[in-house]
Amino acid sequence: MDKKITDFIVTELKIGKWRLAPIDLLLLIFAAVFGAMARSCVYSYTCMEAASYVEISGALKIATACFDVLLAVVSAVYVWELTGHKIKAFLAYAVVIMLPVLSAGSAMWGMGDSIFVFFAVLSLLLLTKGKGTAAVICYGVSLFLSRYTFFLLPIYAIAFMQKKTKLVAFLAPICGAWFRNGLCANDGKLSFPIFEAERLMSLTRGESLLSYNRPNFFQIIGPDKFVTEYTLVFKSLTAVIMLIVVVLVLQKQEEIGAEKVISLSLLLAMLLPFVMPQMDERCGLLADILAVIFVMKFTDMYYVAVIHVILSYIAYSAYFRGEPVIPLCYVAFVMLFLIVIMLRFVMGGKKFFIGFTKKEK
Amino acid sequence: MMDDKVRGMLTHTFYLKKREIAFTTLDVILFFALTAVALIARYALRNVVAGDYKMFFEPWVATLREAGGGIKGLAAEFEYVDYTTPYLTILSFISICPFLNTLLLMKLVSIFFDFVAAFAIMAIVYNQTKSMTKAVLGYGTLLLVPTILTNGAMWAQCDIIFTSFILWSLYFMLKDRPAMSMMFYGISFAFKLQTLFIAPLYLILWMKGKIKLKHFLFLPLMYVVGMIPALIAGQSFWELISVYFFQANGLMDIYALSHKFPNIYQLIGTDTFLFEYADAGIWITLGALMILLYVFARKRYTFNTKLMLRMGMLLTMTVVFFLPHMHERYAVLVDVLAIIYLFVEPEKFYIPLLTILCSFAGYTIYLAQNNIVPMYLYTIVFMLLMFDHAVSCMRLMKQNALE
Repeated sequence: MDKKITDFIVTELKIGKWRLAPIDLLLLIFAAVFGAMARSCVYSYTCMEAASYVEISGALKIATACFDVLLAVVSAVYVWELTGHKIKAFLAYAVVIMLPVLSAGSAMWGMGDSIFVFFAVLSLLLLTKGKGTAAVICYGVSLFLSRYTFFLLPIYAIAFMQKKTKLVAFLAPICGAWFRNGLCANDGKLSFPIFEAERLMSLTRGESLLSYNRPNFFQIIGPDKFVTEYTLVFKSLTAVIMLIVVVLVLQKQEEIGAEKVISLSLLLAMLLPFVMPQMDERCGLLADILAVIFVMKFTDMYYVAVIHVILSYIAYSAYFRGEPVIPLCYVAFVMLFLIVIMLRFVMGGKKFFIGFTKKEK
Repeated sequence: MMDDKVRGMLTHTFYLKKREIAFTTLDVILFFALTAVALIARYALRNVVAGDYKMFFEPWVATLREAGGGIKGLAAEFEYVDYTTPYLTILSFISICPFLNTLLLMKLVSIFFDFVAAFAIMAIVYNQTKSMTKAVLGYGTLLLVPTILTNGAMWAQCDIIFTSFILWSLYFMLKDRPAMSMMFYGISFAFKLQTLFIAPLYLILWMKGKIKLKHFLFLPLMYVVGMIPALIAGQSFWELISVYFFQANGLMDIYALSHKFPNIYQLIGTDTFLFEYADAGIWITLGALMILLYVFARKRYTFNTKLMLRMGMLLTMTVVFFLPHMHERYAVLVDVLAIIYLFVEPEKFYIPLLTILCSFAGYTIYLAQNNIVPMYLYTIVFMLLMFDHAVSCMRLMKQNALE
């Protein structure tokens, strides 16, 4: 009897065109339930007291939570596309939906971050599937929703140079950035919940800093000195780094395939916020999701996702608590270590192993 | 001539149980030496009075004594108590014991179970290695590791009781005697809720056909059997059965997300969002366990002792790493599993070393009020160990893959 039950749980059944085991369905359902429950526990927290934010925060949190599910699904599809491995795809879904940074992002912050990440990941997925124009349009939507997607621009520039997309499609990101800056810069002239929340958040920040709890280079040199001067210097530097990445990849004259797209995207999403000024706690979310997808393909580098998510959450908690538990300069060094590892991997395909024993006897 | 005789005597091999068990005179000497050192160390710690004793145990024993002690004492009404009947019965008998004081008697009970656990380790190690020297070393290691030594003999805590039953449960599981194994697991459950930290491993064992669903009935059965003394004393059935529900609420521990235990809350703060994170933490723990169980259950591979040990360690570490309100002592199960590791996989000697170091960090903060190394550093080490376990589990599963 026991054997019948356990066999039934793991035996794949044909459902439509899919072959699924009951345990897969259990994972999908329970991940959604546990994810929803985790979010409901922290839902009551409000990151800003402003009445205009409190008014919209409930709806924004619910909408973001819905996009969390969509993001988990698109991440699973992406992993399936990358690996062709069903179990890994299901795992990606469960891991993404249970990610503390995503739960806190939607249910505590309530700033709509998973919406832009969803479009960014969808865009990379479309690019991987060879739908360049649709990918760039999606990227435009993502860029419209958040400036943090800007880090992925080199990927699309490379795709264009390798004839994977058309120049005309770049009207979408240009429009996205233009509309976004128009809407945000004009003090919330157009009432759009995400922008309104963002505008109110920047008002609560007070003084201008080079980094708002983001564990990056500025935490090492001090985030409150030479703010104006360093902002210009490092913004220019970031732009140059993006250009260098494009040039180096093109010089190699190798096709930017599915694996390269995800690893390069992850590197950019980690590297650029490290040197870009005025980054805040939430800018690591894109890298968190990309890291989960990346490690499902390159399982030896599992620690990249785990550590990055923890570093992101340390930054979140620094905001929620008002001060970090671990000095952010130390956290920044760990981030630098991860960037170096990713850089080594992207440049030379070298994997860094974290573990005490290498081979099974 | 004489020298040879002495040498021969020392290396002489004895056999027990139709040559199933073999040991030399040297093993016996080693056994007695380790036992003596373990007893001396415990004797040295006998007079230490920890805060928990003054705050909880002493008043509890006094209440039991006032109610008449023994079985009668179990009818006592407590303002607050989070122990189940089996341990309260022990305390109740201690309350009327005519010799020695309460503190020493409590410590003696824990020390007795230190030895029960040590013999379990000895049996497990012998079963796995067929070397009595290694088995005796396992026995001695358990008795002398700082967390086990201080838990009972210094702190007068009783975590070793449920731990020792779990160890015997694992031993019988290795001997392929699932009913006995689950009976011991059930006894352990009757003593402490923390027994459930390793419950996911038993689910995997069920999925892999090592135990049957009916064997899980030992959990409620042993719990109810454990309640009998209190029922005789006239306590309400429902009140007795709800002890764990009260504990699961964590109402007594809400003032910090981690009580000096190096887990995730040491990285994000133990003193803010006490209610929000406490609830969300439980769901995140369930989510993390679900993901691990999915991986372990979904894949097809040959299940062996090494895998059982690695999975047991990883699952238990995951629970204590994510679950809120963990105390310094809650990784005791991880500590004893790590000792088995030392003998089953000696190349991974760093596992018990680092695991027990992390675990003992909280003990020193509590017992000596000493916080020399920041707790988050221990958390990082604990996390690295979890990585290592995860990798070795995946590798071994891959190596033993059936398809």
